[in-house]
Amino acid sequence: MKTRARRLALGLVFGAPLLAAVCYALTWAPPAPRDSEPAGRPAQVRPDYDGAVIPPNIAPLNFCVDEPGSGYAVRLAGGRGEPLDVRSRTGRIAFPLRSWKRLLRDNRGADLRLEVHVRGADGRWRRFDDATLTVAREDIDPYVVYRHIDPLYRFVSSLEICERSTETFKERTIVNNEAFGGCLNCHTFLNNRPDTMVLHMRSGLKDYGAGMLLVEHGSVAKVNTSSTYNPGFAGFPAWHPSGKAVAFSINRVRQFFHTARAEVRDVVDLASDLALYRLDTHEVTSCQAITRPDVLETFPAWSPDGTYLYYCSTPMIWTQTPQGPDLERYREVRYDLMRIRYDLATGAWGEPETVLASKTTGLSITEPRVSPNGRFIAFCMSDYGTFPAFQASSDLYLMDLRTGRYEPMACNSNRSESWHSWSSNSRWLTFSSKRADGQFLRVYFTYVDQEGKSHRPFLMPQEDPAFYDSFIQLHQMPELITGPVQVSEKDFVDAITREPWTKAGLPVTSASPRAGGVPQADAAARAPQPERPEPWSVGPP
Amino acid sequence: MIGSVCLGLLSSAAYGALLPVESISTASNVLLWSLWIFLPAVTLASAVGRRWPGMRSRLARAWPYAARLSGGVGERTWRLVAVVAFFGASALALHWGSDTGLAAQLRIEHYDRLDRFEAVLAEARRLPLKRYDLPVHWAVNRALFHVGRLGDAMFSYPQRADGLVPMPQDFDPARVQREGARAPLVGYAMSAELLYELGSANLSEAMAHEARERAGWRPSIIQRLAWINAAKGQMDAARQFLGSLAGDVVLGSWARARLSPPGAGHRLGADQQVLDLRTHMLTKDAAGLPALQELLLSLLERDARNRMAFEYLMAHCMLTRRLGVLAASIQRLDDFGLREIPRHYEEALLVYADVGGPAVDLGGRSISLATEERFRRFKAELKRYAPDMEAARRALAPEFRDSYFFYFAFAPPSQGQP
Repeated sequence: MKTRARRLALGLVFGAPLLAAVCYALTWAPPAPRDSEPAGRPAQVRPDYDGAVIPPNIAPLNFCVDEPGSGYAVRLAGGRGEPLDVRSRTGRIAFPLRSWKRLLRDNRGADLRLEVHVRGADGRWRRFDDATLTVAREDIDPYVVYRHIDPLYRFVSSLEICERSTETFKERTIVNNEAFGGCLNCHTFLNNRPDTMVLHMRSGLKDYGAGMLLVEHGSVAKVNTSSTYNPGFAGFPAWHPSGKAVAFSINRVRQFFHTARAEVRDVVDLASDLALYRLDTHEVTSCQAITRPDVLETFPAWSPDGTYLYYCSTPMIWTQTPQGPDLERYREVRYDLMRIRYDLATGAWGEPETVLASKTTGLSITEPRVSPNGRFIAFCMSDYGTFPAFQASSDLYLMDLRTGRYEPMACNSNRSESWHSWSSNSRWLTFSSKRADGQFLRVYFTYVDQEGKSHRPFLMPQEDPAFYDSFIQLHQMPELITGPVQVSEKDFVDAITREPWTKAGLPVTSASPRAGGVPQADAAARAPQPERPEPWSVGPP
Repeated sequence: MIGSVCLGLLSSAAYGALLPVESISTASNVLLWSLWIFLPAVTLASAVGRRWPGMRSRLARAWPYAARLSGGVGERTWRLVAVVAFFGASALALHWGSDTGLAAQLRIEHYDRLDRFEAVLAEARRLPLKRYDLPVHWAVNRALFHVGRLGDAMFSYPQRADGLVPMPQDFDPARVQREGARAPLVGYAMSAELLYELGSANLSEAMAHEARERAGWRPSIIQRLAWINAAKGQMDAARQFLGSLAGDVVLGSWARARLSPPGAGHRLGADQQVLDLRTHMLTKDAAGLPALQELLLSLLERDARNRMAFEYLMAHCMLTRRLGVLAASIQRLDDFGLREIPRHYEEALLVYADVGGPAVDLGGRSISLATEERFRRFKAELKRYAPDMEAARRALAPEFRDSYFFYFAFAPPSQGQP
């Protein structure tokens, strides 16, 4: 006992100061700057948030100061509340969450000023030009869901659908493809609600089929929307605002490569059509106007009152050769922005109307998304094609649906912008952009004011300010939602691996597309493969 | 085990993929897991034994026969027996489970990655014919090119029509299944490397990404992606790949040196690999996946002095019996200042003339008398055995196996069109 007590005492005497010294060394921060000399320019920082409009409930915009120095100090201050001071030895600036939230809350609708001071090797401080952040009045939806994936070409190994809190840094996996090795795509939510969503899956290594995963009332159902009319894979689902129907497109996609372009990949639709899955009748329906065999229809999006289905279409220009479709004219593919009236109660379709013609813009219009308040429609425009993520020329445009006027959004860069979606209050637009490096899609947010003017976007913040320095995966297809997704990863996996598919029926009426008018599964994939030579080798003994 | 933890490997990869043991049979899997679990099991048993000193006497009461047997034997003897038994069992297990052919294939792959071309060829010479899978063919032909013997000695090694460059369109699922597990796993990375060396930056980039998706984290693949993006002038993207390597045990310092501020480190754009690619990479865009011949001709159109593209074109023509293209390309020897025609090209030209091809302008060169004489003998012997081609093949193999005549005459028709 005596020996033990002695050991304990010795441990306290020597160990405690040692522990204290280690803690001090780890947490030591430079002293507050005094008499800083003006540097005469803005500081090099990454990410650069200067000039951005941010939501009052956003997580801290941590960043790194890329200036050589031995100490770093920043002060974030507004007209109200206590300023926020952070000091660092390494240039990594991480704002404490509670103080950050308090400051933003106190300065809702006002500007914040960011001072950056750097201490040189000589011990003298320099103060760089202040940066400004504007805190918007309106919150952003508290969660964003996106797909986390590698830059894919033809083979997919791991991907996941993630849910990230916009107010903190918490991220969780909603579902990944580990259980079945295939693809998950096109997550879409009804009116930004987390309790009703659709996700598409295709099996990979293990065959669990392909189709729609429908989340409603806390459970996951599997719906096979394919039929003799639309045997292909469904994609780009869009909820009817009533929750009673989901529009989707059926695309026969062909990816190909460029031999000497910055972006290697490119995509065409060999065929595509639109259809509607009615949840009330469990039937798939469509109409001839949006299933024409000589036209490619894709990217359905509903107006918030559910009376119009917006979509994109272009004439089919591929000619068939013995070797397959001739894709030489891929640069000529330009989509128009269309809409068609639909009456949910009667199932009656109207006639297609051209909202904006590619002949007018000279560009291809894709991915339309109407704001929840019905005022604006955001879409991509690029030099050509159907996949704006692969087009550096792709920019976001906003059309005022009251006047028909449209203009490029201020949040664009000289690299690809795409995969945009609205917040529930129509004030925020989230999108994926390759602006940082031209290769990796990142999630950005931009504020859109009541007049439709977008403001400088900001990158989705991370707890580690240097997170993006080493991140070589993509965050794509962000969707803002008002709460956490209501089902667990286990629910999804159980549904995928154990639940049977519910086959959607076809209506008895003539509201079905004519046979042959929708894409068949790729005939080339079904054709017998040419005989490959057996390995024949003759060599020395 | 420690290595697998420190290097972030899966334990099964540490003991499976890196050992020349076939891990697809139940017996081999049992062996592998026994090896892996041995250390932790022994550690645990030792700890249990120390904790419960009465264990031995309890065991003795439970198994009196064993107790009687061991009673007459001393502690030291028991230890000696245990050690001998352990090493003996290990030796038997390794002998029983090891696969020398697979070991050789892995060595070839390893030497290929390290650019040790003579070692690749030395291993290939000893490799049984049945072990010549596609990755071996690719590595051997690459090594032959780099040691300057592709045009003279490629048929001294087993060859097949698709044994030069794995093109992206070759990786269709049915073929992957036929070739077995190894080809696609290494094939993507080798394809990326070969296409890079040839100058097809974009296809190399595509295959590097496929390799990354297939094989997981491989620093060498990320490094190649950094080089490709640097060669294409996409420095922001190149820096992203460097950033992801900055913490890597193997290539971290290499990456960090290139991330340093200008003047403080090494510029990625100054890497020899980047400079080499820039000199002959394709700059004229075309959409779609070209066939190998089309790709090689495009590369030569871009840079007539792309030697690898030229030699691979000639090799491809021979393997697929497209001798008209070979004959039309023979004058390209001028671009490399070569006055002599490599042996296999001579053989191909003789075959071409024999099957009715028009006269070829050799640009002041001539086919050697030795090759002509050898061809005459080959034809005479072939005639003697006709129409029994199998008998002819057996009879001619000892003397002519390393010639293009032999390949042309006896390769199955599906291997290539004349």
